[in-house]
Amino acid sequence: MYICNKTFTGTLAMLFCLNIKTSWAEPQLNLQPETCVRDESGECQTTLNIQYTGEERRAVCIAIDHLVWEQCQEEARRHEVSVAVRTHQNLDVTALDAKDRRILSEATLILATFKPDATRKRRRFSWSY
Amino acid sequence: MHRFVFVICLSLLIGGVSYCVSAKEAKHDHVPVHDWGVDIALGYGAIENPLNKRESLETLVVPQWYYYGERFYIENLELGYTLFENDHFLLDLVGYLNDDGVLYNVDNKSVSILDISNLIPNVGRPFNGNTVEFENIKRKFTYMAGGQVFWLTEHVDVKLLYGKDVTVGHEGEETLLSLQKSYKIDKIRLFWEAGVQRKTAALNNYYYGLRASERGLRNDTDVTGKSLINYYVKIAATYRISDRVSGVISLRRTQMNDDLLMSPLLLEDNYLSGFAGINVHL
Repeated sequence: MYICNKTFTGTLAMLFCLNIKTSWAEPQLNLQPETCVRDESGECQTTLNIQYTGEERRAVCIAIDHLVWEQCQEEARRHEVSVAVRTHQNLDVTALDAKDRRILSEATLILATFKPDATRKRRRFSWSY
Repeated sequence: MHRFVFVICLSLLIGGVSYCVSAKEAKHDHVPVHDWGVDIALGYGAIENPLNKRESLETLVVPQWYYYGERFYIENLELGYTLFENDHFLLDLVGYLNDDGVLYNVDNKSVSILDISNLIPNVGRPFNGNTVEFENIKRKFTYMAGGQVFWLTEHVDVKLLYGKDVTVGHEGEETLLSLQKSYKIDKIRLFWEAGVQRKTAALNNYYYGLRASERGLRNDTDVTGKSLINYYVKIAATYRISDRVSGVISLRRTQMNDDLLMSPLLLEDNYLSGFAGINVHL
């Protein structure tokens, strides 16, 4: 009886801990904007706002390999940085642990081409605008 | 019923026989694919009727509508299927209502024998010698099917249209060649169009010749043996009052071929049609 109780309580405790661990969000790397529209030359110009929220306090480096850009910040759970970017292709943004350079999270800024809706010419002189 | 038919016909003749072409930048002349619209114009619209013993047609309301799909389009009673379209060239298969039929189908007046006999030099007595009793002269609408081409250039736009009867059976044909252009100056848009129409004898004889039964003779009376040419000129102006409302003036003069005056059914060889008022876009 005593052993059963212990097992039961232990199982409950484990489940409780697991629950707590999964409700604690995984590290999140958010980009603002997520999509960038190309101009006539095919280039995207924007100010990219990057937010990293981790599971625990740590020093984090945000890196964009294609632009050879990196910025590191001191220990915190939440990191935010803004950077002006100009690019012709999608940008991969990586959040790295500052000490061991382990990849914590990744996100991509996607480039899009603007295409206006197809239009057709009226065959008749229109009286309206 | 006749009133309703007349209003439709009026919108065809006034709004319908002209075609819009303008600078590429003018977005009101381009519509997105799958767009449709309805306009109601309120004001005074009229067609002088060149037919003998028929009155001018007048209306206070002119409705119009359009739809443009991927290739298919509708402009009032004109149906079109586009084979090719780019910024300089349009090629459509079209169906449209012929303009002569409109003149006959908006009122119920008959042409009396007394007037006819004054005008026909060679009306003899019928075979049995009795005076002919005329019934109401009736002519049907003709729906034409064919194709059209637009050449859109910097200075002027050119339209070439061909249609052949597919509903009545007289198999009349008509070909139209016109120049047109529209301009936009601030809130005002201007439009002009000048064209020639060539109608075959079959088409003119159906509308302006007389059937044997109408004259009490053994044979039909033709008004012509060859294709004849009509001319027309049209101008229009719109003024933007708001997003949905604009002021409109539109005027068209049609000059028919003089040979057609041989017909007792035709009193004048030209007629005016026009509209002045406010157009509301729904």
